[in-house]
Amino acid sequence: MTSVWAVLWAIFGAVVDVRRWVPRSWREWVVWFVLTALAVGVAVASDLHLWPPFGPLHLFDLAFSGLSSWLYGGRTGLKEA
Amino acid sequence: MVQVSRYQLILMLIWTVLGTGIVTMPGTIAQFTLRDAWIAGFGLMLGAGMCAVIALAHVRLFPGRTLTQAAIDALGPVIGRAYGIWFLAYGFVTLATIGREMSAFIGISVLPNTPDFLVSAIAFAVSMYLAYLGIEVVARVNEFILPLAAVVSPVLFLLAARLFDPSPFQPFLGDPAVDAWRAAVVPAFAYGLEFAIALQWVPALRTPRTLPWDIVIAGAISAVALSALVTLTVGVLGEPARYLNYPVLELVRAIRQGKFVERLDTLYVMGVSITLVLKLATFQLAVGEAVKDVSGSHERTWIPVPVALLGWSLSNYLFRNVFDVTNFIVRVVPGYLLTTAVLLPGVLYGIRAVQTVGAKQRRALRDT
Repeated sequence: MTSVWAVLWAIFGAVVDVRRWVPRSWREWVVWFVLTALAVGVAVASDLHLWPPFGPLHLFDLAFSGLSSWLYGGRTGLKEA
Repeated sequence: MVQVSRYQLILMLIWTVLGTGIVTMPGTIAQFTLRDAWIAGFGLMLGAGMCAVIALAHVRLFPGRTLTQAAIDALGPVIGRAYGIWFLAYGFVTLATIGREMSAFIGISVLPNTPDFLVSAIAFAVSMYLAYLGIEVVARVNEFILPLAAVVSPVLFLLAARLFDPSPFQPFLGDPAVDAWRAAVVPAFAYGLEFAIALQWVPALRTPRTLPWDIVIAGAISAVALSALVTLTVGVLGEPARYLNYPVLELVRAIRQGKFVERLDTLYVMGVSITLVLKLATFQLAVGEAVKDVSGSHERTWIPVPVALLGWSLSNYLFRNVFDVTNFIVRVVPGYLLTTAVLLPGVLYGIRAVQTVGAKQRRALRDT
């Protein structure tokens, strides 16, 4: 007797065709692995509240807030506005 | 070969900008000025104009190529791929910003007891499937929601217009010009420059030569819609618009018609959610093309899953709350987008122009 889960999986597989989601060449596998590993690492860091004191947003702020404040005409941010 | 018509492209561009624009721009503009808020929305045209110039250079110098393919063509495989990785970083950060804006908006407005990461997971899953189906499907879904937006939005805003009071705008253009400019910077750069994402869709366009005009048309329509929305919001809410995260939501909540017609914000949240998912899908398409070009792959069906996973993870990690998102949009995004969407492609097209002239001179020398 066919299980309900098998039927549902067959319907899902027929609609979505999961086999096409799999990389083919080694180069595709490398990129897939890097992106997925980054995603898992970032998700774990987020779950464990591992925010470094000088995080990525600070880096962006350091790099681009100067240009942004020039665009604003000398000042940036809501606090100063 | 999948081909997207001009009409579909313009709709995609409009929803790409207005998707998050409707949610965040009126509040951000009101932080700087109320009297001149109506004019700040037109700053969007500045960003659209810059993107149109970039697109004009792109379709002339790299016909039928995406921006990342153009970088690899002009700069070689190593530096070109490094440029591609920069573009990928931009794409992922933008995906994270959109995802976090969406989860925070839905969490605050309609699902306060649902964890934000779950809301964004559903949004990323839906947009991932759209991106997997391809640009033509995304374009058709954009077409499909147009009647909803064309009927529901005017009805909502006409009902709210009964509460409109022109006094917040008096005296006319009464704030200093610099305040209006500061209010216009976010629409001008943060959102107007998002039109440059269309450079990643060039191979799928039916008429790529008209891309610059399509960007200008989409920019003009978006600017008028945004300006009308901001004017209505400030006119109905007045001074409190400065202190609200989502003033348009409060505008719609203010609607009461007769005894029973009220709390129409559900309709508004549904519409905004759809446009946000479409915006996520369009950016995932662009990021997916960049991943394809950087990895040298010929297939794109394996790309949406890891792209959506990383975008979702980053959206939860980078921005802990709404303040982080707003601060990032106001302080970083204008400079970041100006660099990534205008200055770096400008340098790329400059290099290509020099290469073309050099090749022509060498050919002329060889012939003589």
